[in-house]
Amino acid sequence: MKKLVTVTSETIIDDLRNVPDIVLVYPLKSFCVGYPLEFAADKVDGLVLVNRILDDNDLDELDCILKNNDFKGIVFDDLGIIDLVKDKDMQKILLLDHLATNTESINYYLEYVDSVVVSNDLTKDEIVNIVSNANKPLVVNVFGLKTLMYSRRLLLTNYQEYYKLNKENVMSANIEDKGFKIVENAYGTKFYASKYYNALELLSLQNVLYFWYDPVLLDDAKIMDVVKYGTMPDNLSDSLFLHRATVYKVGDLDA
Amino acid sequence: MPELLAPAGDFEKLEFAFLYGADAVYFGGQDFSLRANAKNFSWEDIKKATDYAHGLGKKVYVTVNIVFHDKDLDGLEEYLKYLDSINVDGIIASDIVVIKKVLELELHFSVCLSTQASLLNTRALKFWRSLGVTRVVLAREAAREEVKKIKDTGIEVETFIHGAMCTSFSGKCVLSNYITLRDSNRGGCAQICRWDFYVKDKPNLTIMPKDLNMIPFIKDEIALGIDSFKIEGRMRSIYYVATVISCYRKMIDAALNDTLTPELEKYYLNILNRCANRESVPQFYDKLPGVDEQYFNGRIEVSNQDFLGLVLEYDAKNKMVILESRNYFKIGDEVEFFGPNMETFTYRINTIYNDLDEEITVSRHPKNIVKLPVERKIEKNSMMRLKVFDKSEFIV
Repeated sequence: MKKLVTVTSETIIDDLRNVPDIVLVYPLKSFCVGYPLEFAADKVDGLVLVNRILDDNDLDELDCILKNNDFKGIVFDDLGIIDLVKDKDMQKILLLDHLATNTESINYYLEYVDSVVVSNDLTKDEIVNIVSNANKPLVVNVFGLKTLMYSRRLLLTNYQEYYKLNKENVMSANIEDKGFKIVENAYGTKFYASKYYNALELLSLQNVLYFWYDPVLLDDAKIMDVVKYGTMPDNLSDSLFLHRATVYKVGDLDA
Repeated sequence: MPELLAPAGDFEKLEFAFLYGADAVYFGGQDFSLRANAKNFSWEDIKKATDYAHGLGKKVYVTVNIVFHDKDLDGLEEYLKYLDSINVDGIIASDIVVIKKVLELELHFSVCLSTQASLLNTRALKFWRSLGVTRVVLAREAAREEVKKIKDTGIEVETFIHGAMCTSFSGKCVLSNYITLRDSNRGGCAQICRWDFYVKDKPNLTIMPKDLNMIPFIKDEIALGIDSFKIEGRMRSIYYVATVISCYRKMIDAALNDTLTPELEKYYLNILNRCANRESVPQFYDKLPGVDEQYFNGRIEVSNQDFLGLVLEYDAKNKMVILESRNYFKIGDEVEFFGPNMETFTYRINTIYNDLDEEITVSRHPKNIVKLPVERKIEKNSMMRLKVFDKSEFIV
C-alpha cells in the first residue's frame, strides 16, 4: 500500500521520508493553485504536481522545466500536458478533480496515462465500483482539503482592494454551518471545504496505485498523525460526499 | 460570416431565437444535459426542433454535457444513436465518454467540446481533435492570445459573447454540491457564487462576476475568424432571448458592413444591460478581471418589467395591434415596438381597448388581450417594451 503525500511544509520532509511506502509529490512553483507553499523544480525529489489550467506559453515553460529536470512522475490537470510527457520515462497521473467520475471515462484516459485520480465528489460505492473496474491501478484521495472551486480570478485580492483591507492570501469564510478555506496566488483562487476530507476507510481498496494525502494548511504534527497512524480529530474532518450522494436533478432531492 | 448561436430552453424560445435572427440554437434533452431545471426537450421535441430548424435552413446543437457518474450512463448510447438518426447538426459535450462513443459508433453529427473542458491551449486541443472533436468552446477565461492561437490551428471556434459568467473555470466548481447536494456538473448548480460568504470581523465576501458582453470586440473576433458567437441563457425568457439576439444580430451585421460605431455599440449595451438587470462587461479577453468585473455588497436587483406585451396579430383593416400583455402599462406611456423584420419605433399609448372592444385606461394583468391603434403594420411575435433609451441620444 503506497501513500502519496503532498508536501505542504518544508519542515516535515525528512520525517515523511522516514515513513515506509511513502511517495512525495511537490506543488511546482508557478504551476499550481491552492498551495501556500510551492517548490522550485530543483527542490523536487519525488513527483511533481501541476494543477493549473495552462495556456500555450505556460506549456512551453513547463516543457523546458521537464527537459531540465528528472522528475519521477507528474500529477497534472491540464490535458495539454499529455502531449509534453508522452515520450518521457516518468509516471503520469491525471488529476481531473471533478471530471473523473465514471469508469468508462477513466478507462479511456488510462490509454494515455499511467493512472487517474478518482474524483472525491463520489460516494464510497461509486469509488469502489470505479476502482474495481479500472484497467490500471488508480489514485484514491483518502485525506486532505477537498477542492470545491478553482477560479482564475483573484477573488481575495479583489475583495481586499474593494474594502481596502490588508492583503491576505489565505482566508476562512462560511455560509451558515458550512466552512471554507480560501487560498489565492497569482494564478487564481481555490476554495476548499474547511474540514479535511476523511476517506481513510478506503485504505483497504485493491487496484490502487496510491492513496493520496493532500494536507493543505495542516500543521506538521497532525500530518504525521494521519499519515503514520490514520488518526485525525473528528471535529477537523468530514467524509463529505463519501456517504452523502449528490443529486442529478433537483427533483431527485424529494425522491 | 460567424454563426449567431442562441440558447433555447424550450420550443417557444427556439422559435423566438430563430425569428429574431439566430442562425443556430443549442438546447438540452431531458437527460444528460446541464441546466436540468430548464424545461428542456423530450425525444419528440428534439426531432420537431431539428426538423423546424432545418426547414428554415438553420442548425441545432444538443448539449450532452453533464459529467457522468456510472449510473448516469444507462441509455447514453441509445440517445446518441437517436440524435444521429434525426440528423441533429451536432452535440456539445465535455465528458470523454460521450466523445469516444460518438467516434466508436461512427455517428455523423459534429462534436463540439464544451467550455466545461476548460480548454486554453493547442496541445489539449490536439488531444480532443484526435478523438473527433471538430469545434471547441474555449474556457471563458481565454484571453485574445489564446483564442487566436487556437483559431489559427484551423479548428472551428465557438465563443461566448453574452450572458452570465461562472466565477470558477466551468466544470471546476462543486460549491453547489457542498452547500445543497445539488450537483453542478450534472445540471443542478445552485449558483452559490452569487451568495454572501460570512467572514469574521470583516465585510461579507462576495465573488459574483458581472455578466459578459463582448460588444467592443465583435469586430476583432470576426477578424480572428471566430465561427460561432454564442449567447448564454437557456433559463431566460422569450423577451431576453428576443432582445439579446436582436441586438447582436444587428451589431454583427453592422460589423460585417463596417457600420458598427461606438455610439451604436453603446446604445445596444444599454438595452442589453437593462434587459438582464445586470451590468455586463468584457471579462478575460483583454485583461485579467479585477474589482470592476465583479459585484460586491450593496447591489440591488430590481425585477425588470419593461416587457409590456407580445404582438399576437395585426388587424390591417382596423389598423389595430392585438397584444397579449405581460406587464402594467397605461394611457400616456411612451413605449417601443421591436421585432424581427422592422426598425424599432417609438409609440405613445393614447387609446387601449380590452378584448370586448371597450376603452380602458390601464392594462394591469399579464396575459390580458388588449388592442392598440397603430398605423403601421407590425408582425406577429413582435414585442412592445417600455421606452427607456432613445437611439437618437446615442447616434450623432
